Amino acid sequence: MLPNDKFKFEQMLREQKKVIMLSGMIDEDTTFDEIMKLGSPLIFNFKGITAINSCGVRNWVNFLKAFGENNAAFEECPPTVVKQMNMIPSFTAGAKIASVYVPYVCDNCDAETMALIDVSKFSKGKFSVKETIPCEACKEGEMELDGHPAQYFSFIK
Amino acid sequence: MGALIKKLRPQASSEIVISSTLDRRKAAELISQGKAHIHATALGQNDACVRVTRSRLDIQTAPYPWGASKPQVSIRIRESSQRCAAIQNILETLFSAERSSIKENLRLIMEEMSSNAMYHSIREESGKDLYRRTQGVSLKEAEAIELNCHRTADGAYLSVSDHGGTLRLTDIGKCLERCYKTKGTDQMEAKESGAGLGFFMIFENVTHMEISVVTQVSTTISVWLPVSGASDPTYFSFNFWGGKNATK
Repeated sequence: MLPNDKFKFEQMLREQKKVIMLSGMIDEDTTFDEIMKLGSPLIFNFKGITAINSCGVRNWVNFLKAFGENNAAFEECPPTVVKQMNMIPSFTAGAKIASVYVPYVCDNCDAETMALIDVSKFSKGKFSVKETIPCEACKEGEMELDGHPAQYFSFIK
Repeated sequence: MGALIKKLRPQASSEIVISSTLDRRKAAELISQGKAHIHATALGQNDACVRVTRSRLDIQTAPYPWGASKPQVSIRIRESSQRCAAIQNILETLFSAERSSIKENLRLIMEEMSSNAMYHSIREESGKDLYRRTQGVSLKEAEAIELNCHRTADGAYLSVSDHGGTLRLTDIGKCLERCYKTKGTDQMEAKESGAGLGFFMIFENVTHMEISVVTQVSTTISVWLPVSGASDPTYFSFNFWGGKNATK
């Protein structure tokens, strides 16, 4: 764990691969020195990341550059991370993106949910995602994708 | 009325760039060329915000429609560590019922606006930032920034004021040009002073942006963005109001 209570990470092993579970906020206080020591390759799981500011983006990009983007894979990226991936291409650089969460909102009860989408086989302009899914909360409405698919997946290369 | 007419300048309209085909990248190019008033709108001269810009070029009094109301929440911030709590306070007070994507967007914009004001408004005589983003900051009482928010019928009006008055149009132009050219790549190299990545994030995510600078006294950055319905990426505005020295 890093000496910063806003950001944490845990290491797991999955099929002999090291998975780093990241959580909290990535900002000016976040350092990735301890993760760097773990060696490569690594799979970064972003599910627990709640926010990233511009200083956090800078720290992450510097880390990824030093770590070696080709040795990194991203999985379970929530919308806050996808937003940065879309705005700042160097946030992912050449890292492999395995999966992202896609937000849906019910047009009837305003319930929100996120669907995990495997994007490993997506390519630029060639992807498919359900624009609506049934609402599990009210059982009546349809949940719509919260955003434009083309914009949301513009990080796909 | 006579006095008002005397003040009107025929060239005022030519100082505004109005286009229905502008995207933010092109707008950034124009800003880097020194254009201070840009409106991306299909309504042309009939757009309400364009009318305000035109009249303000003459008399500098009219508020934009999105910024006319008094803030519902106003928070003074001196400690960088107070930022998160202040932003959370605004989100819970005015936007608790909004969907997560809206709240995340508002959080990011308020975070970048307030941290830019805290770290980059107060400068040394040499022009370098007095405070560094790599460490926490405790502003003096006279340097405290003010974060304001007003929930309009369909959007959020946010503004941050600082007591530096050091922002120049050329700084904004350089920052945006760099960000759009490299999409953030070489922003990462600038570790010490304001690299502009935060400003780029704000510019990318708001519909209207207005910057008012009183040189060496204060800077206020105001933005409006929709919180209901989809935002139209082809509709936005940028206006920089500053003294002579501020734009050079």
